[in-house]
Amino acid sequence: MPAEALDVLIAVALCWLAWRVLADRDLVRSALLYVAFGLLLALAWVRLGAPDLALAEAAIGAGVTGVLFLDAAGALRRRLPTAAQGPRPARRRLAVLGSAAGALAAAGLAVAVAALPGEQEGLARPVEENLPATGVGNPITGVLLSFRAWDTLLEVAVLFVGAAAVLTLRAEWTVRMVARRRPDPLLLGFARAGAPVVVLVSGYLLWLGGSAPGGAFQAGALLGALALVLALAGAVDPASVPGLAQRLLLTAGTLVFVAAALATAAAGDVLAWPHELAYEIILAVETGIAVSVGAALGALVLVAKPPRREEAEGQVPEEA
Amino acid sequence: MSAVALGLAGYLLVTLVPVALRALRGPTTADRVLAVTLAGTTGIAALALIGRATGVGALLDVALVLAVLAAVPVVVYTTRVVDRS
Amino acid sequence: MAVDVLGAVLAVAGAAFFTAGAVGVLRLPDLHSRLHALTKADNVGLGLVAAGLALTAGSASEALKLGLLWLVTVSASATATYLLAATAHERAPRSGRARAAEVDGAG
Repeated sequence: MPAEALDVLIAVALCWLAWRVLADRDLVRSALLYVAFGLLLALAWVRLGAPDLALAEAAIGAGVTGVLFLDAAGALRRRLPTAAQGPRPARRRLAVLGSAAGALAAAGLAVAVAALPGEQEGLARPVEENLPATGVGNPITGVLLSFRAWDTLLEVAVLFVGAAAVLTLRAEWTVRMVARRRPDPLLLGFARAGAPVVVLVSGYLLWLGGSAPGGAFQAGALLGALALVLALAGAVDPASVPGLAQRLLLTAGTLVFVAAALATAAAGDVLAWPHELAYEIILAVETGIAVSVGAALGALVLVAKPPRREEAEGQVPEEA
Repeated sequence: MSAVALGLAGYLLVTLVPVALRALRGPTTADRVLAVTLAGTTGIAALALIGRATGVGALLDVALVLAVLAAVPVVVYTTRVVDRS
Repeated sequence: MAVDVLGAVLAVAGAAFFTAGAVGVLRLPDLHSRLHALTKADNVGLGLVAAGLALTAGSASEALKLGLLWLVTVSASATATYLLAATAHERAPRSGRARAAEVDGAG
């Protein structure tokens, strides 16, 4: 009984938080509520019996996407203070209409799903039966990197294209905010001391993905967060990383995956890993993916417009 | 222990209500960041407890990831969102 | 059996600190006092819960993971609260030389 009550509470809180995130006038406040939303969503995944999704949500949703929004909201608030104040009343009416339409669509979907015939078998059993052929023990990893390796390859390519698109907006990575002030010594020490721990946990998740919840994207999210904190703390200047190294880091995942795909194509069946080497190949591909995901996520936040001259001279508008 | 753990986890989630109130009231953004950080730590404890109660070891890993990422929003807020002259 | 009871007691004590933290964050008058409430929950609250779980853990690796969890949280929370307090102090000093300078400047 109490478990169901908790579930209802979580569901209601999720809907309410989502509404607050979208309706809030202050974008920074929205971004923070979005982080809280991600935490609650991870809990919802736990209740639904999906620890893999909970792990991914915690790493990517709460940790990285939330941070991206926070950074963007902060930058927007600095440069266009009025734009960061949320929708005007006329748009609000449109938002209400849109929500009503969305709620109607959701209700229609619920009715349609409820009307589905009997117990749906799903693909759990075929996956389970064919899992030993993949060489890994974790069904999620098996699906992502063996049965549907093609999809994952394209996903990795898309992430790379996204990062490349963002980088073309600037000629180089710049983190001018940090260069303007003395780096805080405690933050610097924390970033430096924490780096090996984060790399350790990231590697642990990567290796664990073969047999238990974990995997490349979560590990990559941690690496991205680490790169971000190191740069913001002033421990590492991203502009000092040689261009070739930056490009290699960003493309590692795509390159390794494509190389493996080409090798299997030459051997006969594209993306069909030979059974004896499957585990090692998957681990290598996942490592490449993790590195690239980390680099891409770091790039997305760290690419910043250098301040205009008046900002550089210290006459920035006060935070609202 | 499992029953206690599950009960405690549920209780911890209830303690998120005052924290959520602080996140909404503010008045400053720093107050909201504070509230979100506390929500994260409460979530970590709740996840560890639920993991023990249900026997799902992976939840401890989820808690570990949350712990590693806990400071990141604060760092981004103080270095990138706050205006410093 | 006694170990189970001790573990449960520790976890409950931890929950008490989380309560104190949550109530403090809501009820205390300003950012700096609320930060104090936050650290109590983060450090002692999570520490007691982790200790209770580690005592009753199924394996040494699980207990070690709990210890790592706590250490990471303590250092992250210490850094986070320091950063929040330092940022707030820079922008609106409440004490010390910076405050004196501000008062003099305004006067």
